[in-house]
Amino acid sequence: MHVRVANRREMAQFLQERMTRAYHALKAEQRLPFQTTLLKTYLMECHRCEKGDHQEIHKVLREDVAQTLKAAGSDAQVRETAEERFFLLEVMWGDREKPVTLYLDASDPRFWVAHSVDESTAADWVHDRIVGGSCCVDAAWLPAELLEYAAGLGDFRGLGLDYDRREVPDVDFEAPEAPIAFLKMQLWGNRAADILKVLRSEKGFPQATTLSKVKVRYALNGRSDEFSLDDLKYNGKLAARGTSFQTHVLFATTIYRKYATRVRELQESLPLRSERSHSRVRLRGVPVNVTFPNLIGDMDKFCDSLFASAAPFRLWGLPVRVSDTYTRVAAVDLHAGGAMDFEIFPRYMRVYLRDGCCANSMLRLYTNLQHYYDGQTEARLGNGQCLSQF
Amino acid sequence: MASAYLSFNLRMLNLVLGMCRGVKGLPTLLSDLGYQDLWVERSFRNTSEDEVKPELIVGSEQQHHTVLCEWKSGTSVDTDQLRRYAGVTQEDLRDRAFVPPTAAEQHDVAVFGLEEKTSAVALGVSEAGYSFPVLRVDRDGIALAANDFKVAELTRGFCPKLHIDMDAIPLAYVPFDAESLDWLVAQTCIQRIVELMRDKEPRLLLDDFVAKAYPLWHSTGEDYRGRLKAKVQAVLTELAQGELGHYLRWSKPAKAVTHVPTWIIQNNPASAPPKERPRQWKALTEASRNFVTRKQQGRLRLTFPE
Repeated sequence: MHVRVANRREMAQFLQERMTRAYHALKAEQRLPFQTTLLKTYLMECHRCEKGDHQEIHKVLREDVAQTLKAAGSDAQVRETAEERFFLLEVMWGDREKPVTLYLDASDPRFWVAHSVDESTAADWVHDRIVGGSCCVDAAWLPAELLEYAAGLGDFRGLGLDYDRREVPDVDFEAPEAPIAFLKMQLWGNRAADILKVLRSEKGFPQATTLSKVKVRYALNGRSDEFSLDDLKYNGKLAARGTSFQTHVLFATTIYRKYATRVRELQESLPLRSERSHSRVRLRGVPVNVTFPNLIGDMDKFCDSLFASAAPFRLWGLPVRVSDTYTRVAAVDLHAGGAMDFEIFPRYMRVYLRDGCCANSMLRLYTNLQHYYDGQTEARLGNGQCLSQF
Repeated sequence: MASAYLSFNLRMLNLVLGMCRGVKGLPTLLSDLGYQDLWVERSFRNTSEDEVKPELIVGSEQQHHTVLCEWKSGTSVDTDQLRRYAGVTQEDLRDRAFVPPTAAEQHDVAVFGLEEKTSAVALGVSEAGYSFPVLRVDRDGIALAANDFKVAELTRGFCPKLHIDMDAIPLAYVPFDAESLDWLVAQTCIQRIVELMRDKEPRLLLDDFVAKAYPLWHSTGEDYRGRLKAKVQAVLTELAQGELGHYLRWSKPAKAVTHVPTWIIQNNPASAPPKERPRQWKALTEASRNFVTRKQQGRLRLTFPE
């Protein structure tokens, strides 16, 4: 569906109509009719636009986002609207005659919210190319703790688990005592919270139980007639149906504000930097202590996977053995930029962000460790505070 | 042993900074007592206008206490330096060293000695007539060798010994200095080169490069800056003439324009087609690893002046 809207109000009206149509169709027929799709919302973070105005955001969209999509083989047009910091991104994809449209709201110049009612395959492709290829836009990486917080905002109706240790194969998966290599599960129903509790218990699979998606029924002021039913994924994607676009937006922005506040706090406290004052130097910045419940099986394999310069971690690193138990890695976040230092021991690692490194890099690392290494990975700041204290 | 690679200054600086900031694997004595690192390696004048220059000042508002840290890797003590330290008052700390007033209420000058040399340092302090706490640093930790701190809990913490895994000393705060081994310097240099590559910078300028790579650059005097630059330049020269020659090329014409030693960044993996990039980054990692391994093994490569 290709609809040009001029402002946020028109967008809201259009998406409200599409969202409710999909909901009623799904309710009546138990499946989506042809050319009816769910509303998708993507939470994205632009590292270059912390205080950016409309022009700066437009420039990033034109020169980085559109070029990234072009490099991936799709023609992309960035269209301004009548309102500041509100854009339409139109992308030609596959054999479609009409473009995939993302309604991009950059009211917060760093934390963007993009909506689409095009089919998932197409909209996801555009989103994945942007956050995968752009050097200044990334997905919002939502750790399991934030997904649980989101589940608590309304009725917790379902969950998805996604764990794949094969990305970091530091152990022999054929060995008798080998940990679980792979666990994916989708579960819809009102007992989601109970199931999660069981899986995370000692008799369950705590190491491999990593929440990747929550389904939440969210109602405004307890009203039963105005609600949204949202699937929220750890990469910042929401798929929504229901009767109220406003409720859906409120749900999405409540989560995103939590995330943004934490990212800004971490941005202030984490990076190591020297500050000059009265001709003296004061060093700033705190480490993040990441603890693993089990020993790292093979340090070389662990480092090779973590610093493979590719998704999901996107880190380049030069591991150097300082002692039998201590590996130091001078690393660079190839996606968002900035240097990070790792001091890795068999049961824990210390992570330091250098000046210029984005706090998003730390949340991406932590979230992906939950999904690809150990669901019980714990990350705390030097003062003991949880990294994911939302 | 990790600490064996570091100069005593670098070892102590990173260790005490790490202990103040809750770095995992180190004792929590200092952070538990509320000590925070305040200033690194910068001088101030006491009321008598004598200059003092502690390696590190840590203070705790919770304990109403500040510690001026001085490391001594040798056996001798400078009695004039001790006299100047003894002249520091609460007001000097507050008004001239900008220590929070509560933390400045009482203070100690702590002298950290290296292993068996500490006895001579303690004797020197005592003979000069001062009662500064003297601490002995060895492979297992830090022990109070003479005199007490004004804060009893701090004294108790170092008596008989604060056990520290010296193999777990962080290296991140100040990763190298002018005395560091080449492979240690190279790790930071290569990291910075990759940062420049990721940002698609076409060249590397020495002065800017060192200033960004060395965290204490702004508090460093001209002489020491010169030594740091010479150290980094030597490492970059060897990288460009050796293992990283594919990526880094010295440029005399560029130097004529920039007026500082300049290297051209070439064959940048960040500019490769997306599918090719991981493989090219990996090749860079391998080349870098070869350099570090060669240096760790002490194998030489002849370089030529540029």
